[in-house]
Amino acid sequence: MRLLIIEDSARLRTSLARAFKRLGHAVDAAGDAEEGEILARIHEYDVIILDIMLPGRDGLSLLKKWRNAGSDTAVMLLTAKAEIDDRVRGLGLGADDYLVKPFAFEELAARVEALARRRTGQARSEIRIGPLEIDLAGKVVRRDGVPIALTSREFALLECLARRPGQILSRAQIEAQLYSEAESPLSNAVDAAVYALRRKLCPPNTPLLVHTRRGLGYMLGEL
Amino acid sequence: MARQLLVSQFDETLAAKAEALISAAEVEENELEIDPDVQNFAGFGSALTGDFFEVRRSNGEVVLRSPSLEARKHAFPTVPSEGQWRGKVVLPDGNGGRALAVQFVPDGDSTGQFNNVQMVVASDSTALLQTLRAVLVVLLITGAIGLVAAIILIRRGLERGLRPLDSLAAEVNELNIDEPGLRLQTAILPKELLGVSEKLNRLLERVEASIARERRFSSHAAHELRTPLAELKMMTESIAKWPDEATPERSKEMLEVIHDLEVLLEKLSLLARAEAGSYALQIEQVDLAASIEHAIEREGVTVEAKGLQVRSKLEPGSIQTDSVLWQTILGNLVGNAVAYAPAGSTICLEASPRSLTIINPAPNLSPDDLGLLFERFWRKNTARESESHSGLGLAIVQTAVHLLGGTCRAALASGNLRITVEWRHSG
Repeated sequence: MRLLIIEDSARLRTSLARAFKRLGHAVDAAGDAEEGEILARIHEYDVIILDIMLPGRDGLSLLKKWRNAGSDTAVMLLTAKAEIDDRVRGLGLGADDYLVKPFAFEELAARVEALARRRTGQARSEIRIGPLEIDLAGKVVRRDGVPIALTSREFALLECLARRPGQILSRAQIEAQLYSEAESPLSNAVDAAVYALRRKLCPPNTPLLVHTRRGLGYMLGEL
Repeated sequence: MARQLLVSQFDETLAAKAEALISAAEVEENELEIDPDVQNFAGFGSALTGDFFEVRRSNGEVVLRSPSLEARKHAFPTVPSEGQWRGKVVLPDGNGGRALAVQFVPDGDSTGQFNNVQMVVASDSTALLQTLRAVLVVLLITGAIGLVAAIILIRRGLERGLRPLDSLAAEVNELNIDEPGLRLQTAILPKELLGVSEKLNRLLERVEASIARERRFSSHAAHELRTPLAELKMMTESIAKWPDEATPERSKEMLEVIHDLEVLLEKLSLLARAEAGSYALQIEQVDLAASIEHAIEREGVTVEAKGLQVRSKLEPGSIQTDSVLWQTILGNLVGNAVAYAPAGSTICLEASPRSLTIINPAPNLSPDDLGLLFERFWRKNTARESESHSGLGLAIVQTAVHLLGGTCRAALASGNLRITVEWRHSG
């Protein structure tokens, strides 16, 4: 999942980015509304985590601008203001969810992931593809009931492919989902990641599930 | 007065009757006689009319009586035997009456045996009393009616006059203190009430401004306290989830956040104590120049990092002040100037035993901001450019200056912010 965090506290911003990266997501971060707006224009994000109180322009005006422009990117609001009015206002302006600081990171992560799943039409947190049972919330994958250990980057790749089963995703699309602006992956990083995933998911003599379409990209699914 | 009128009228009738009798009295064959026709005419003929008369000598001997008396056979009331007299008497029939006694000399009294006889005429005054009572009742009734009418009229007049006051009171009653912008309608009020409602409107403005200030304070205070807590919570949860996050750098960061919270708490505590009036001043002698130079030194790192110039004109001498408050004032003023002055600019400080002025370029400030400058948690940019500046600095300065009995002013001139502190305690 690709995330954008717009938060003016540098400490909180970097802590959040680090934590989400550890969960296998690609994270970009901005310290004010202007920077955030630029990043949002360049990249497609699954969820934008937006702090309301930002220097200069406040977060809600940015949200309003996005919604008016027709953007339906999921937005999670973070704020220090606990009043009901502010929450209602934020939700009314088009935010998808709202958390008051200080929050438990676990909760923020769970809610953000739920938003991302909903956006791709995957309200269910469990996906079955052939013999694979993928639990997106618990970050566990089983083949014929046997759990397979994946690194978080590998799981992120699996999730990326599993959300569009039977669809071909290009290297660039996968890169955008897995790597943040700050990271400059090697040109074959995606290929390497796919091969590693394939090796784990599809042991020898078992039907292939992760497919390569030369010149086009990769796909997850039964043939 | 009505009574007197009626009584004197009564007496005049008595006197007229007496006159009539006297002029009709003559002596014939040594006997005093009064023409019976006149007697009847005057109403003395029968006892029914309540009129009686008697003619007496000075020794009390009765010479002649009215037939009405004869019929009664009761004694005529005694009256003074000399001169004229008029007054109340009890009549032979027991009723109250009035009598008139007058001395006269009858006609034809050639022998003089009837000289200085007294004519006493008495009349029943019950009717008079009744009349008086009737008049009194009428007076009372008309008086009462008049009073009632007056009351009704006055009330109506008052009601009409008070109606605008009533509607003003109703309007005031309906004012919802939480609804901003509510004001009393002054256009339709009589001029007597205009002053009151204008004053009320001004008070409403002040209340609204105060409430708005409190709301801003609460929401900024919330932000200031919640963000460091969120930072701390985030860092701690990360360490719990991923133990390799527990690096010395992370620990240092966490301690910095805790320090920021401590500083914030100190400031809020000072403000709270000052407000509660429980701050106990400890006045001592403080060297003016030395304390200011020390405060500038404390900001040395930032001054150097931003390439700032600090120019100071400090008069020698000492001041009598509370050392802790003075350090707080200096620390916040200098710290603020250093933090917000653009890189490479110059900060000026001028101090005398009675005042302290600090000037720094403030290109981002507008004249509208001056009113908000000393508000708690107010900052030009609502977010955290520098983690350690909560927007309480100038509020603290103002509170501390007031505790010392001084004044604090801010002015904006050609892009420079000039803050002047003046006080009375001096060395």
